[in-house]
Amino acid sequence: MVRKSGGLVLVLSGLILGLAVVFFWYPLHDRRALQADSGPAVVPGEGREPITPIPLDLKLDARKVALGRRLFHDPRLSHDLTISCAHCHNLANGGMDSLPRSFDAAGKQGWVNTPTVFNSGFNFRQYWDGRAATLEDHIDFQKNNPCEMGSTWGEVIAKLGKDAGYRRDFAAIYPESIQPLTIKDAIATFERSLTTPNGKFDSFLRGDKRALDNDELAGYELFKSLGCISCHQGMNVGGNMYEKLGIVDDYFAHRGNVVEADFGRFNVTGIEDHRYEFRVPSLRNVALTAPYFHDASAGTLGQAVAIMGKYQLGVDLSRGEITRIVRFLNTLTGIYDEKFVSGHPQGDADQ
Amino acid sequence: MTVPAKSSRIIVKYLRQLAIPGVAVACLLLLFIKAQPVDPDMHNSLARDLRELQTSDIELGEAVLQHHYKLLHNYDGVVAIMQRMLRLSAALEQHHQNGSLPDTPEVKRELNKVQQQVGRKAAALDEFKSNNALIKNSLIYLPYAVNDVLMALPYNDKHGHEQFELLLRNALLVVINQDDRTREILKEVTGLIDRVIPGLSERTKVPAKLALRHTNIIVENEAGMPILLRQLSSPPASHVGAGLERLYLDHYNERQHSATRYRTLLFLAAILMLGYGIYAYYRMREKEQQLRIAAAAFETQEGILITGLDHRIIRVNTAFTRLTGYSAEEAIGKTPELLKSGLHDEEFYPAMWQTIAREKYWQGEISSRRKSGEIFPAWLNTTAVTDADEHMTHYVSVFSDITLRKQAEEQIHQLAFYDPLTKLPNRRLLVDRLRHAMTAGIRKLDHGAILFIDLDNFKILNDTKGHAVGDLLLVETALRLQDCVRGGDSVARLGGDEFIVMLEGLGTDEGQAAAQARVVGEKIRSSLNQSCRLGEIEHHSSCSIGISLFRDHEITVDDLLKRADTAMYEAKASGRNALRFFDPSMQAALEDRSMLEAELRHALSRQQFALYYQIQVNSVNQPIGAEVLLRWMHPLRGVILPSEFISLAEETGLILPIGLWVLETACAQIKLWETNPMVCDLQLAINVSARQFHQSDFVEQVREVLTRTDADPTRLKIELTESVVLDNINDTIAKMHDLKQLGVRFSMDDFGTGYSSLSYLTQLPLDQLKIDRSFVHNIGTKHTDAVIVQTIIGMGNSLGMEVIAEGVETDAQHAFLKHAGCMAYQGYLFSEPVPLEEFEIVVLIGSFARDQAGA
Repeated sequence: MVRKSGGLVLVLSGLILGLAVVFFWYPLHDRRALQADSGPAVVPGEGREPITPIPLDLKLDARKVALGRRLFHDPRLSHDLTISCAHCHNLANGGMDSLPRSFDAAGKQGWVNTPTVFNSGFNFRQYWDGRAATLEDHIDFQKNNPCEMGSTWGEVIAKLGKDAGYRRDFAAIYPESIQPLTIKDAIATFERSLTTPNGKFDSFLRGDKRALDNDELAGYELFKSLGCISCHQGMNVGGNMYEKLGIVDDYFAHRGNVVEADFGRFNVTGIEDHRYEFRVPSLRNVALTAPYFHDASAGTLGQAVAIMGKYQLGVDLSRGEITRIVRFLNTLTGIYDEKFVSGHPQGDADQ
Repeated sequence: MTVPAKSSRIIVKYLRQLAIPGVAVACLLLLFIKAQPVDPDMHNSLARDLRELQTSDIELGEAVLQHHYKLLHNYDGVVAIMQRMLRLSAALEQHHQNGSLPDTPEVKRELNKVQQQVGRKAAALDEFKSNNALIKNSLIYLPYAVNDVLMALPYNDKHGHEQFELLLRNALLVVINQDDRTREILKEVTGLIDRVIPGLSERTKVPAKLALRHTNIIVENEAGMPILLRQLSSPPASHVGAGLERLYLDHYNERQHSATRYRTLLFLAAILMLGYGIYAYYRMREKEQQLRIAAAAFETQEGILITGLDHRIIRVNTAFTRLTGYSAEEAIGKTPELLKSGLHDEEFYPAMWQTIAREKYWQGEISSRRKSGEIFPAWLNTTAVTDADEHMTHYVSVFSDITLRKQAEEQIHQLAFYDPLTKLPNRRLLVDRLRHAMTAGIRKLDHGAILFIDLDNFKILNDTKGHAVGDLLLVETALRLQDCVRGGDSVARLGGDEFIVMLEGLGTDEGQAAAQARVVGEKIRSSLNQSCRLGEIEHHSSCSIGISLFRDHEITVDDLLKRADTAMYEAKASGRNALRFFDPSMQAALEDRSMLEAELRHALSRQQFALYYQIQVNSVNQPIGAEVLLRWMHPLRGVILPSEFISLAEETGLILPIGLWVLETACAQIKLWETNPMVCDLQLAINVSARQFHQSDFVEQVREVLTRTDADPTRLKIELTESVVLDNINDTIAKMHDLKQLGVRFSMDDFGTGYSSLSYLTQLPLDQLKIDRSFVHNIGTKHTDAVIVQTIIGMGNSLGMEVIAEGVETDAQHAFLKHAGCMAYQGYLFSEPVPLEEFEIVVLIGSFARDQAGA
């Protein structure tokens, strides 16, 4: 009897000791998978140079990137299984679809021109009007917009949950498995990986003074001296501020046919001062992302430069100036997946 | 007790047991939770976020100012700072939700304030970026436009020149000074130019409009700049999150202090529990010691089994296994019915359990069955164990195997109440049964009878063949007796060769009862009157039976036995192998005899004895001696003959003083006669009984008397009977020779009636043979006796012994004897026994005869 209870006490004290050891060694701080990658991989520019090169090291979770890539190309994210993210953001075509406005499955047209997905992680907000603060928010908007994916999270999770591969891969990365949060995290992480460093201009910025020829260099000098640089600055050559379209001259009055989409940031804030304000677009890979502007009013880069000069700066740029600026803009095309971003180069087409 | 009530009682009991540890654990848990300090991870995270938010705020202000003074050339920095602030603001909300921040109105207010501030700053920053870019570009293009205007203006338009120069100067000044005076001047100038423009040439109008546009852009955007700058670079006291941090730190300190207090309590509780643990440990050790003692006590030689209320066995000890054969594994879980012998009736077990329920205790003898099927008697003690509320919880049964004890008791009973030789009840048991039977008789008024059976001549068998053979006869007798009676009747051995048969239920009619008893008695008599084989010997035995009837408490058991004994003696007296009933005359004789015995005890001291002398004569009738005969001169009954009291004297032992008195008196008489010539030659013959003769100092007594009286030993003659001689022949021969040495002479009394054989007759130093009176009496009537007389006389003569005939009454007898050669006579023909005085006269007359004969 005595011996039995002695054994019991021994086992119990062993158990308590074991628990104590586990208790003391177990990391109490919560290592949540979602917090592993913090925010956009923006290196705070010193601000001394107007344009800075794209960083080479992104420090992203490769597993999430791979998972995000699959989701990015997966039409199951849409209600009718026809549209994936890549439908509008074609990575083989400059990260967009080259259309003035994209179409959804039902053939319905979107109301603004689709911006490129490349380097979108460096933008301070998403959409022309800055509706979304982050890429994750952007995915939310896309999902729920009947004109785009037209789906709901419940629907998407149910569809993805049937895929054993997804179930396994999600479980391997996220304790929460397949959830709106984790899906967004995976896709956004993948999108942040879509950077295009090592373009000619980045090489120039990194100190290779012979990376640019004289025309290109002259174009850059023009770009700066004409004041383009006032808005198109920073790592992404734009994408970090709002500005009104038509400052010196009234762009919309000249173009005519003003629609709601033209109100820009006003649609988001409702503040009168914000009418016609848009996010200054990034000029990275701009040579491949025609047509230009939210309304796709400029078919070529030269046209776009001319319009910018006329309405934003109040100058009529000469053909030579435009050519040199376009030459410079072409050096902003970067490398993704070990090769230059491909698309329809428009920069020199109208020279 | 109903089942639900019972189960609810059990539940309440368990709840009560669980209550104290439950409360203790709950208290400890509460203390432990309360003693939790703020999670350092959460605290660090929150504190870092708060700090970072404030740092970012400062950084933002600084960066914005640098932009304002064109020290920075891209907005990535401020954008990153603002995004960080937005993220931190959201993180604070998260901290609030996960509890790092207390959920108080103050905190909520501060949190809202932070979010509003950050939101406002974000909006201000966006506006600042946009405005800053516009001002910057317009400042580039304004001088170009003014220059174009000045180039286009007519050379003499001095006023126009001044106005546009003023526009340019003040536009630049307003950016640099940002003062209201400049703004007012600029407003005047622009208003003036606005009015002038319509009047300008077409060439001038375009650059003038542009210059005005740029100036307006500068004015519009510059106007809000001071407010934006103030918003974006707040003073230290109103940094974003400063209020929240103060609130949080207060909360944090409060939490830490509270945790410290509870930790102290927890520590005290732990010390308390440790103390209790140590106390409990020592108490447990003590209990353990007691348990060990109890366990040792449990393993006694007595079997112990413990059952629950359902009577299922919970525990047994090793003695249980040893006694019953069932191992602990086999017994546990079963009920004690396992050991049921099936020998007890239906009421036994319920009665036992009722007693236990009532008195919590039962003990008694119970018969149990071992695993082997063997049944054994057990002494069982069952005690109910009760809890604090006096409810029974267990039964403890202790039992021992009392087989050996029972056997010993049986043996003792046998020894006490049974005869070891024949296995028959002994006297004690018989008396007990008789008492019982008499008590039973009271109820039934039935008669009973006892048969007193005594074997005839058993003593002779015992003496001649040995005790072993005698014992065989006793055993055989016992068997035959048992065959002769019914099952309910008792046969007992009183001792020696005496047996008793007790018959019961002989009916109420005395005559009928007597007849039944007689039938049984006759059956016994004939059964015992058959020869039987005793080892090597073929023996023929017989018995004498005395029967006495009994009923009620008419007489005592002792009296009853005495009556049967008396009847038996009567049967013996009648010639053995006979059966007699006890009757009242027999009783009277019995009583008479006891009275005589009492009187006999005093007869000697009261000098009631007297000696009579019967003369013995020779062939010529001359006196040659006398036989001394004892007479009891009873004051009431008159003269009593020895035949009436000698056997009584022998039984009581009075024969010894009486015999001695006879010897002394006879010797004294011899001495007296010594000087009287008429009687000095006479021989006096005295009778000595067996008991007297076999006294170890008999020879000494005779010598001492002879010496004391100074009598002539040769005048003394001792008459012995054959039975005296045969009792112990060697002793007899030795004593006779010793006495012979003194000069004493011997005569063989009653010769011819006993078992006398010639072999020992020659060994005895006899002087005389005395022919028994029965032979003498039959002379002339029974030829064989006459032959015997002749033979005895011839034998005596040839052995050189004198032969005397007693009981000579007629002349014919006298003549026949004389003719046969017998030379001495005694009898009525010569004289009856007479007192001394008469005897002396008889001798005198006899001496005449002698004289005549001699003449």
